[in-house]
Amino acid sequence: MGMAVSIDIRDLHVPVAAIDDVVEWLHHVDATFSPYKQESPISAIGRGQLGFDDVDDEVRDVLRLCEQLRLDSDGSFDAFEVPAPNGTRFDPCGVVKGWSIEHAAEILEQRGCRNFCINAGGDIALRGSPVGDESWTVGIRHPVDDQRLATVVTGSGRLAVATSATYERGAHIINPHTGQPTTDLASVTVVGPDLTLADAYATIVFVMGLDGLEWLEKHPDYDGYVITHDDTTYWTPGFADYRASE
Amino acid sequence: MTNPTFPQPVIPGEPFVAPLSTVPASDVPASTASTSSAPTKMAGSVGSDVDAALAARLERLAASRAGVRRDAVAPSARTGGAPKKRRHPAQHSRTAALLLSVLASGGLGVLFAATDQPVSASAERAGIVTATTAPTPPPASAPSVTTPTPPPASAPPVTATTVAPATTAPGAADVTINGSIFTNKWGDVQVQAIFAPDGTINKVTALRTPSRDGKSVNINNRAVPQLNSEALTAQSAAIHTVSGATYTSNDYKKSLQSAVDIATVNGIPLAPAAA
Repeated sequence: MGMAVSIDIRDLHVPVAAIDDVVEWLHHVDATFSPYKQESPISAIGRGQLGFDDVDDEVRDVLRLCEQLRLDSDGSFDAFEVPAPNGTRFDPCGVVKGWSIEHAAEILEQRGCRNFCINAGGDIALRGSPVGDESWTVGIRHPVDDQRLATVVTGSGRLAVATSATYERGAHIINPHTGQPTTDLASVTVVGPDLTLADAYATIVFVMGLDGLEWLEKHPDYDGYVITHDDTTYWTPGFADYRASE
Repeated sequence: MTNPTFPQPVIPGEPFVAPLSTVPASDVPASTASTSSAPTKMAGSVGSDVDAALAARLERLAASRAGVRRDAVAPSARTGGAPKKRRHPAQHSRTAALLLSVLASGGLGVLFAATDQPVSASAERAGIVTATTAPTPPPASAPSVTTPTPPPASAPPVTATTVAPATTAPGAADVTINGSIFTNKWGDVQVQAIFAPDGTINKVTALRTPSRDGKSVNINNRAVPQLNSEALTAQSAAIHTVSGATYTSNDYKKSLQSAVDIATVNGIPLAPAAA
């Protein structure tokens, strides 16, 4: 869907086919889920042309994720209430992005990769470690000064880092409750094991504003870090474990 | 300070298009598993309720569609059909396909979306910056200095400037190309792409991005900050990658596309898009 994806594999032996499979998967995701393509199943769903039983298993899985997140967030996340590029009001991109990259990570693992970093437009899936005993080190982009980082998180093993933000003066994330762009927060970062959820939760916290951190604390494996428009930062207690020390 | 680690999932040989195990199927009970690799509990939903709610929602969409004119829908769009390609949405897909394919061919490169050190001012004009940086003779496909035919896109005529400082990418004949400058209401956006001989893009640098007001931003933390964020940049050797949306992404993509267009016009080989 128009984002750059970088794949950084640190294993000694890298099966080239693994990367080809990931690329093929991402093309498949784009063909199936892109709201920019009028012929995609997602666009057909938005037009009311497909029933729940008419779609493929993976589309159903994404729909289920959307519904579960809608219930969990009490409507702050609602894929059926966002203006989509295809002219409908159905856009599951808030789920599909993280979901597709998390699955890409699984593809790499199935092909034998154990230490890698996938970065898709700023949403990151990590496995293993970059070298030996090191940890992956992830900079969080500063929402105002793009030459600097706001903070740094580190971790090894399975870890996802997702950031929702608006770097331009017009917010691009619509609050389904109001239909208007959200404006409280400049940037939200969520860390946790699964990028599907980290990505969705970052969007949800962004929509909810500062109260979203309290909502996030109901999810024990996920932590968040937010920056407000007046440059104040807040984070959940568990987030401190991820921050790099000098 | 602890660095939490999580168990690495071992996945038996499922086909890679299979649905993710993190999506609870209808047979998963509402209570969550306790391991950190399990999906977080979803409040109050049992699988079949979710399916029923979704089925109802899709039915409502179908019902509301009847007799209501939808704007911005191509008349030839049909379920599962192959309507005429709309140029605008395809533009996004082509750029994405190109970026994905060049990364796949390159294999192991890390592509940062922004914030590298800018090159010197003399190399900022759109066009080819340097044709070769190595002692080996340039290949036959090296671009010529003069290009009589202007590119069809909005990119300005190609020029070759003096050799820029050596790029970081090794290679017999890496070509550095500055994309066109795209201006939005907050400022200019321009990228620079380095093409390896096999047509992959080794490195993309943001030469220009709109700046804010230029003064230092003060971040007030609740706790004493554990590190000095002022000193951090994406160039820090300790940073492996950066999280955060691509900055002014539309203009970034357009500038990158223009660099690709310049390469094409000058006969610089490009890696073919993946099928």
